[in-house]
Amino acid sequence: MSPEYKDLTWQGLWNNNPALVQLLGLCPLLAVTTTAINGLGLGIATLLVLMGSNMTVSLVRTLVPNEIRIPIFVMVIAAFVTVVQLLMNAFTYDLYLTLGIFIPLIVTNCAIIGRAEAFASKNPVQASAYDGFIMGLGFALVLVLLGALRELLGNGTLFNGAHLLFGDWAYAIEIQVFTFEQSFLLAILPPGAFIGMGLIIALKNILHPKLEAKFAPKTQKVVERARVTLEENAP
Amino acid sequence: MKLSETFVSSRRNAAILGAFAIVTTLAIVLTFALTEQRIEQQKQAKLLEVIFEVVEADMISNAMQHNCMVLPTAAATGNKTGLKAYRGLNAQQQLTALAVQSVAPNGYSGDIRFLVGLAQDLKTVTGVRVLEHQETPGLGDKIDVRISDWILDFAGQSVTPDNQMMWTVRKEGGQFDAFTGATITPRALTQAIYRTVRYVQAEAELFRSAPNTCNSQEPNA
Repeated sequence: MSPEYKDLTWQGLWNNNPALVQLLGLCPLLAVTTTAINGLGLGIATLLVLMGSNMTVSLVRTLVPNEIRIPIFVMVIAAFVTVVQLLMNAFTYDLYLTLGIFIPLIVTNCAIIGRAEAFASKNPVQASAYDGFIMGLGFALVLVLLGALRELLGNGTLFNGAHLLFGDWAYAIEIQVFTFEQSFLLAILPPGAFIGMGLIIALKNILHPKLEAKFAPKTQKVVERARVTLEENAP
Repeated sequence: MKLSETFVSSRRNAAILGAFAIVTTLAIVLTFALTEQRIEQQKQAKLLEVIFEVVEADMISNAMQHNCMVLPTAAATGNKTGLKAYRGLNAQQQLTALAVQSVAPNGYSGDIRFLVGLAQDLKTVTGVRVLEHQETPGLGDKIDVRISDWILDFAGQSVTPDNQMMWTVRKEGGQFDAFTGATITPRALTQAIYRTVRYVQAEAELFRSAPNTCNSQEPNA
């Protein structure tokens, strides 16, 4: 793996993780992660859309004047997502019934516009696609982790609903770890999402020095952080 | 920068922005036009799959997916056009089961399209299935029978002019559970079912006598 891609991987999965560090896309992230499988569904959909939107934005980047790039990216991404939704609806209907409900959430996801602005608008198509992939993966991993945490605490199950995503064989991986008399509502309701998210971020910060020493690329190139300021950070 | 230069560059930017708007809109329009028919077919296929889940199969002797009528636009069914009702008949050609397509327009995020099955008396609900919705995954999507069996509770309930109070969620005095963290979705659906069935009762004669419009034009039936 070339140094550039190594760096992208490090940034996307850990150092500049869209969910844990950039804190982008919190609205779908907090709303959907009631189970690990829901998290995975949103994660997969986000990953695919992020790759596609990064590539599209990268393709048109030379045509776009700097002053009006944001509205143009918004249009390009919205059109891309809509087209994907229509195509899924028409040609993969079963998948649409499962993943389709996540797609409207993705349009509002700041991670998408964040990556378009911070990376894809300045880099060639291939690197942008990889950036989209690895950022999407970093996002998806956090979604699954948070979903699993909340599902386990709230319902005592893991991977409940896996058959919807993978087909009937996946009933086998739906585990009832323990049973409650009354489910632990706090974990399932939105406050549980905030608390769980806080714990995961804290864990990330604890682990950070160790992992940085071990995995951070040696030739640390300055990568612009896509931290969007508060005023712009619509949910 | 002089004023005239600013003017020129804004004009250029406006033109580029306009061009992008046209291209992206065209892309959507084109995809929509190309997929519209197929999406319609997919929805129809799904509808036909669930018809027999919401009615009592032993009450009908016809192929009820081939006996339908198009509903007139009515507020009770969400003011949508092109909704259909499928009619099951017994050997004496009497209407013994009805599966009515309807829409709850006030879901948490948009329309909830559903199919409600009715018994011969047009009072007893024999089943309800959601055909299409965009409710929040993990909260409102429990109306989908693949996620939870909440919707099976409607089977056997009856709708009469004076039990409207019962057709809402429990916290508003009704008899149906809401989901943890999602009240709007089940309330919208429950109330829409009541409205739809009341509408059918009011227009019962229409449902019995309207001509059959799906005799043979449905290839995948």
